[in-house]
Amino acid sequence: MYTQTETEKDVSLETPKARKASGRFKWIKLLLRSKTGTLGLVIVLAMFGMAVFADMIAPFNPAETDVVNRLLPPAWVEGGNPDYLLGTDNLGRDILSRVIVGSRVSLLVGISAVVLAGAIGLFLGLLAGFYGKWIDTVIMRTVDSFLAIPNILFMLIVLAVIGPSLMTMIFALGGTTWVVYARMVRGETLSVKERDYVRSARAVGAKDARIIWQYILPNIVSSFIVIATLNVATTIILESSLSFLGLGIQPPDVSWGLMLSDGREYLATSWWVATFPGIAITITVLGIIFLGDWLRDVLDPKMKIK
Amino acid sequence: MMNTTAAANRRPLIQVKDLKKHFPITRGLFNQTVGTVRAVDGIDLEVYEGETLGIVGESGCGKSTTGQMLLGLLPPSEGSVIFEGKDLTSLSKEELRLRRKDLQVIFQDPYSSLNPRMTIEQLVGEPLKIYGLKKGKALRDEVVRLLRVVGLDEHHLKRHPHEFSGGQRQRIGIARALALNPKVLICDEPVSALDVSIQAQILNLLKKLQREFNLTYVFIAHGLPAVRHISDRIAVMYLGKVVEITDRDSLFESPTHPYTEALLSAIPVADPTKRRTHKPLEGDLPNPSNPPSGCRFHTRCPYAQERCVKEEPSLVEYKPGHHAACHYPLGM
Amino acid sequence: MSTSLLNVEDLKVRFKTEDGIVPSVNGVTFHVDKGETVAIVGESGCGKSITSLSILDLIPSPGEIHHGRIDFNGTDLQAIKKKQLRKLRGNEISMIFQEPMTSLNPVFTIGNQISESIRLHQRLGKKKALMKSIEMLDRVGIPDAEAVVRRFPHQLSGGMRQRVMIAMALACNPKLLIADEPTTALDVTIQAQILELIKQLKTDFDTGVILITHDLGVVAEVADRVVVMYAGEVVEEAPVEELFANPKHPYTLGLLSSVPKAEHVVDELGTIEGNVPNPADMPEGCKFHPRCPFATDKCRNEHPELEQFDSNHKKRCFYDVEKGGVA
Repeated sequence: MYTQTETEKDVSLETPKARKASGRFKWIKLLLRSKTGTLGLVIVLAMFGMAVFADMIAPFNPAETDVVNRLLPPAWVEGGNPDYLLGTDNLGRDILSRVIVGSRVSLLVGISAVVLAGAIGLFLGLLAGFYGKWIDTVIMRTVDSFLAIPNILFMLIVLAVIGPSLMTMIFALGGTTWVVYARMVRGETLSVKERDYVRSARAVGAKDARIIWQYILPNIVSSFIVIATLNVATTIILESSLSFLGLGIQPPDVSWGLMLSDGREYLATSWWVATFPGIAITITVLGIIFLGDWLRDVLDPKMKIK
Repeated sequence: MMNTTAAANRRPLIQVKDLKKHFPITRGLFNQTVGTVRAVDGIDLEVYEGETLGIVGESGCGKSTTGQMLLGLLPPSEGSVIFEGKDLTSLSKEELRLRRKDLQVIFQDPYSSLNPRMTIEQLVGEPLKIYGLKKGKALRDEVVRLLRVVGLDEHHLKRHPHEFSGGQRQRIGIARALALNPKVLICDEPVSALDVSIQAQILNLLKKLQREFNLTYVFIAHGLPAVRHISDRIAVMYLGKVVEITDRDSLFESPTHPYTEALLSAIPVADPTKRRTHKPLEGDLPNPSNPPSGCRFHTRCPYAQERCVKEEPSLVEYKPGHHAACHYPLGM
Repeated sequence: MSTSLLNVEDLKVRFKTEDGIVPSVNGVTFHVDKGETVAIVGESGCGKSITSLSILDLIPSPGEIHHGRIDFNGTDLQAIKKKQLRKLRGNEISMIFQEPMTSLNPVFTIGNQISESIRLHQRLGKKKALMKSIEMLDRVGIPDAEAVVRRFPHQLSGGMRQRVMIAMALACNPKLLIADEPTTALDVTIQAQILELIKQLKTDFDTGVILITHDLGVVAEVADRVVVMYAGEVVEEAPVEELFANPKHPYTLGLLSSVPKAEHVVDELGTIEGNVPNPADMPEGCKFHPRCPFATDKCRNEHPELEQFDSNHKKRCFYDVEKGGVA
């Protein structure tokens, strides 16, 4: 009465509602569908545009001082000067120009340090989690010792020894924050490694490299992206602490972090000095987080287009 | 009976000798070993070409660990697994990898055994790619052929595992396992995570494939009805030991080991007129890190005597092809 | 009917998701009498668990009951306040789940947890509640109960934990016990012990039991009456002997023929073609028709009602298995 079936009728797959995005427009479709993703992309593109064309957009030379017009409030506040839209700082430098030009260093340092730290952390975390045994012990004890020393202290030592420059700062930031990624990647690797599909890869004769690339990496990438995007913010703030201590960006160069620390003294009297670079950091970080969120969705095969 | 005599004339494809797997229990900062779990504690088995050997037992009896060792995915602590005359435990990592072409596996959970990030085409084609057997169009054609064999088709190529139901995923897993044209399939609880009506589909499919491709199955399960349906011979395991091994009909009709008897009577029968009348087996499974002395079943055995506490029974052939490890076998 | 312990009438549950409204339970009607064990059988996604959860208003969000009536002992459970419902939970109606590990709090001792649930509903001192806990553990067959009350959940085996859950569920002498796949996570020999225990409840406490399961063996072992569910509907209902001897719905027939028997071997198992339909995209007419070997045009276009054709047997099907035709 009931006979064996050769082909299962596949009801669930034929629903028009759940058709998957396909083809080369898949990414764009997925992006436009996600409002926050689009917003993130717009913000990040705007910030990059600002950094690239800073010289053309900035109304003033960001290093030019004008003692007469020092600590002018923003244009719309009483006593403001319409020439200086966002006001001026304690040396009479135009804050708008400094925010625009400062985006260069901040984005460069923030993103390169995260990329560097992410790469080191991903590599070492995968090694430790996948191979275990003594490799794991060596890497994880190193991570522990890094965590035992305060980040800022370690970076200060590096910068004091090698001397402050953009490159040393990126290396110092990347060289200390990788431990966060290493720990997370190791943990995720350990759990993914025990899943049946990794066992099934071994059963069909996959070598270690294939298992890591095809099985482990794609399955830990979403957690990695979340941590990395959140860390862009931390890194930009860390850069500001270093600049505040005089070991980061050296004047006449400018970064949002440096501006934040400059403004700290005047927080009570002239709020605008620290506020605008702060807003710039916040918007950038939000943009990167939105974009990261979208990226995570794109990489997830479960995402569908309606 | 026919199966046993037929088996006697054949040479075993896999021979397991005194196989053991002990897992250390570690604790503390420096991973001190505080004990061992004797997951598999000295088993001997033979698997003949073209047959289905069922391995049954409750959780913690070591049946899955045995399966992993048969595949060479887990190195044994002691003993050997001889496959076509070669001891798998003596092979190097690379030799073992190449050997595994002939030994494939189907997993229990179709939701966790397929990489969620791969498409069906990648999943089924991967084994062929790894061994460099097929490329380009030939690879795709082969994948389509394999999908048809398991009752799917080319519409499914570009899809990801999450778009399929449990039964379909299990079919994908079977297609992937068949890709290398293996001699042996180790089925590790292949139907226990599926719905009843889907279980039947998969069991029927496995039977059909066995006939078509002359496959040898090792079918590991805790559900006795499914094992009976598919197996020629059945080994019953308890706490890391094989307690009884024989052809399926004698196992079900005249179990010799008290544990087998208890296991059989514990199965709820899908017939309300045949409700169980006697009391079920009492007590819990002992802890495998500290198994009972003598016969491991004596703590729960209704027939246990003094000798069972002191002396460990060995697997004895009581009838042709019917082995049991019991001092006082039933019906003898 | 009015004497029933529990009366569920035309229950409808839906989930409001991003993809729209997904119906999960579609007009389920059944009843449980005092001291009676009713099994609800079906495959995953048929709505059997959601049905049982709606009795205690425990449906996970975004699910909601949007139609129907649930009467327990004469009170309409939907009309009473949350607070009163909470009083019923664990007191007059108890529930046990499939995975006993996740249903117990890992940081409290067994004794602590059972006494706590007793003290929630009964005015008992700590000492007395602990005594009662030990007594309950004893009754569900846990050896050395005085020692077990001091242990933590992880120190017990799966079967023991399920017994603890049952002890906790029975501590307040509930009139109704809802058991959702209580033995699925357990080994066969342990399953047999737990089923034995559930059977005893009937004689010892006169408890009504709703047993949710997909295992027809379990059903045959303990149930008095069986409700078969498919795609959110009851498709057949009958006393257990009647259902196994005279299944009337093609789905029940298929389920029964697809179970491998331990007693004898058939060459090929019967199967039900295809897969369970997606709740967001239910077939027209009879929901089983795409998988039904007897389906006709009538089945494809019209939705059959659950009809009582015998004093105790109901089915939702146009087809007559005996006569071999569609009515």
